[in-house]
Amino acid sequence: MKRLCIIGTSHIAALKLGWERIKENCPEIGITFFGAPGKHCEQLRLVDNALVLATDEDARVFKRFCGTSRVMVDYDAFLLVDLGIGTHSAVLFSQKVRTEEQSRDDRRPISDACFASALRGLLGNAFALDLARTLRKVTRVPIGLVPAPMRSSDYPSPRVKALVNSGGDRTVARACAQAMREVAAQAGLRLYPQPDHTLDGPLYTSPVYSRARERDTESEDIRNKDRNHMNAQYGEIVLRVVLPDIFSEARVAA
Amino acid sequence: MSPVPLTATASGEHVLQATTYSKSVLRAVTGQLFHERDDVDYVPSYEVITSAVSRGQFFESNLRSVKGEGVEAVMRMFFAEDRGTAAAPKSPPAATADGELADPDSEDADEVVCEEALLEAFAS
Repeated sequence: MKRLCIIGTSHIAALKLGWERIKENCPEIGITFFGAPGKHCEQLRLVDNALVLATDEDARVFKRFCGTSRVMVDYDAFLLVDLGIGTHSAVLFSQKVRTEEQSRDDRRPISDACFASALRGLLGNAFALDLARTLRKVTRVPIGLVPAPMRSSDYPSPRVKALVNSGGDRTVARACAQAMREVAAQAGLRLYPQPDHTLDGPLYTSPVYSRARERDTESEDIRNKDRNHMNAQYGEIVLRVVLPDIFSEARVAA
Repeated sequence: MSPVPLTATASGEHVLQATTYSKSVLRAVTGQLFHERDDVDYVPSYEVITSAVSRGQFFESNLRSVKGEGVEAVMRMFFAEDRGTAAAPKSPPAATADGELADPDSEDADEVVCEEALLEAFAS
């Protein structure tokens, strides 16, 4: 059996739900999920060939969700989900600067090259890259990156709206995708971008994949309006892309 | 950021060098925080007091303590720039009337949602 460890933020939830749907058909694969809300992930440390949490608080949170606060690093592959990889930082950065293609407004104008370089810097400093470098110290198995899914289009973000209005959404999405490819390649990681058919425009996910669609959206509880996390269908789509590829030797980074 | 220079240093460097280094590091960090976070603002008290254009007029004769006029100049600028928001608490975004988050990009707002998404997935 090939063993995959999926490490990430709350966006691993969709992959877990997707895995429940397909695991019967994948008896040759075992998956361990190891994650927690983002702020609890950034203190993962390598101790005695195991990933552990630096604080008792973070350890307790991980244990609450995954049943453990420690994973050995002897898997056949790792998949890092979100952990700072995605379009979020690019969208935030674009609130302060605009590239050459975008309409003039009060943001600072910068060149496309400068914007691309900044995105490489932002994504290159994501915790996912730190963690990958940590793992690389002890293992040469494939490590994949799955970006955080984009927000569902039925829950539009004011920041993305502003980008759409300035004609910058395609530019930002394109630049971010390129930066992710470059950062992943430089670190010897396999990037699994969000599948095109799950998108609704450059910076949104189609609402059919939103977790909230399966819930009572009439409820006053804001949790039932979760358009940031995706559902089992989305998780299955991502895993169907990742699983046939992640264990293949051909793409193992040198 | 404080404009008050160091009076001594254990770094082994001259105190002028240590002061410049210390202020530079602090200024770089505050600048980075300001540029990276929407909920952080930078008040240029350091620049107002120490800039060459102020010609040292805001320092006492010991060239270290800041005069009352200097403090007043900084606070005037602070309240002029941040009127109405300076004392506002950094509370999590509230839900709007239609139940959606006021700032859907907020990580704070997502915290509960993140936990619930995980609990739901790992309960199955």
